[in-house]
Amino acid sequence: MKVTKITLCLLVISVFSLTSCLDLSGLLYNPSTLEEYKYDEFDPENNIDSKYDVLDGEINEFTVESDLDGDIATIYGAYIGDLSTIDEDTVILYCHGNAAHMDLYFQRTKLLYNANGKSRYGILTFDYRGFGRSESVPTEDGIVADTRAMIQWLKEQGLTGDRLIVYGFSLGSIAAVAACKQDLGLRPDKLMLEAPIGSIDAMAEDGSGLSIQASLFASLKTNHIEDIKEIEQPLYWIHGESDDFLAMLTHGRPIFLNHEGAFKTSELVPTGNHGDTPFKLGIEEYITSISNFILQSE
Amino acid sequence: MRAKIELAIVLLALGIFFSNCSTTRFIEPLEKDEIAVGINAGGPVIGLGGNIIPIPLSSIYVGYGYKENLTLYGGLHTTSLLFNNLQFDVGARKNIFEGYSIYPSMSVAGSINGILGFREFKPRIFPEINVNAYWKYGRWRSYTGAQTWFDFYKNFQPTYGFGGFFVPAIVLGQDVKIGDWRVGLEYKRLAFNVPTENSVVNYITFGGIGAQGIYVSCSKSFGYKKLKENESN
Repeated sequence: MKVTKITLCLLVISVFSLTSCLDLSGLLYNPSTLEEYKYDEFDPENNIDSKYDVLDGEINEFTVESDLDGDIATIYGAYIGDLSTIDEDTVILYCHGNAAHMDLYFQRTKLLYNANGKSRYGILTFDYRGFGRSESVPTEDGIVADTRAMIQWLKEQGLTGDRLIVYGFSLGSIAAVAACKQDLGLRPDKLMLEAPIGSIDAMAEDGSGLSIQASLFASLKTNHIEDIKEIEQPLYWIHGESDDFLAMLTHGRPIFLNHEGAFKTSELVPTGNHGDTPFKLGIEEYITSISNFILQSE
Repeated sequence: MRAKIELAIVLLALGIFFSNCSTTRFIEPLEKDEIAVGINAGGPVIGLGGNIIPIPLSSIYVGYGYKENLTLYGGLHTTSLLFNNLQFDVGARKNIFEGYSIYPSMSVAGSINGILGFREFKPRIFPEINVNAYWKYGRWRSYTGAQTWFDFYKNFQPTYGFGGFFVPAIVLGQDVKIGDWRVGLEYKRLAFNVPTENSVVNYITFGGIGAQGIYVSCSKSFGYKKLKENESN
């Protein structure tokens, strides 16, 4: 009996000593750092046609300080447009995806810059903490804090919420949805999502084929499928039907269906995969699609 | 960009901790009062960063010959434990057919797979049934089988993931007994009813359906020999 009790105690101790808190949340992020931003010089071979180029003097790099519970980081951003007219222009805050830095997304930024005519809208793109030249390490809360810092900068330049559009691609949907759901300084007028994250749980279910929650192996909490219910701003959603990273059916579609605002529109691209949907749709078609949404949802 | 994204799928690949994360427990029932303790490792095979690897899942397990032709067993999933989860399986196996000539013996098992994460109280229970056919020749044993988990939560909660009520697998395995030890290798064709072509995890599979798993196991029996000796005295 004594041996049995000792064995039992040893077993229990062994179990709880093995129990640790490994957390894979950090693996969600794939930043790269660099010394300087190069924009069109970053990867010239993959630049889009020169007719979409940014006008001389309209790439304005700047930094802001972003405070995440005392972790103050210098965050890099670039305003593509005329700085002197932010107080009267409409601005698209472009929240990029989960790779590298904003140079990698610069060609996409130029597509937005050409919506409804070249330089019709100012575009603000920035690197979340840990990406590009921005300091610190990425986290969900950090992305939101950095977005708040960028919106604050726009506000200081004279922007008002009725002229702010947020666009989130993939990981950037965390920033874009937060900007609409939370009070980050300005209430955006429109929300645009490209291949957004539905929820971390949906990612876990997609990966496992089982109804399990992501909290079993990570402490991420993103759930846009639920968050979108609280968002009334007009919604634009574009997603590749061949997306093999964030599947259209399990991520974007539930978000779109759950949106209860007065206006929403979708653009589904049959051959689009996670990283190429605008280009599979066609550059002109994509520009037309986003242009129409902005005009129709006025 | 795609290459960068591949790193992120590690996170999701680990999401499959919980399905088909071990070898088949005890292909045939143990002798009455026999005890066997073992470990196993392996999991679904995925492509990651240009490499093909099985996900390194692991568990320890124990079986007990409760009665003639009835073995009770349980397993504790150690990799899952490292992520602050208590994952276990408990079950029972018995033979339903004694093989002869070229006809294999057959066994069935029923078990419960339980998962309790300590980050969020949302326990999950997945029942499982399993049928095996096995051939023994000398120290060697070959087996094949079919098994399925049942995901009742698909009906009880909003869900957006792939997959359905059944999470099936087909098994092929080979093991060898060396003294009190048994060492085995097992292949599983997993979730062959689920399209994984667009899955976030880059499963190495064929036809864009399900996944494939590779597992190894090692167990040691004890108690049975002593019992035999006592009986002969």
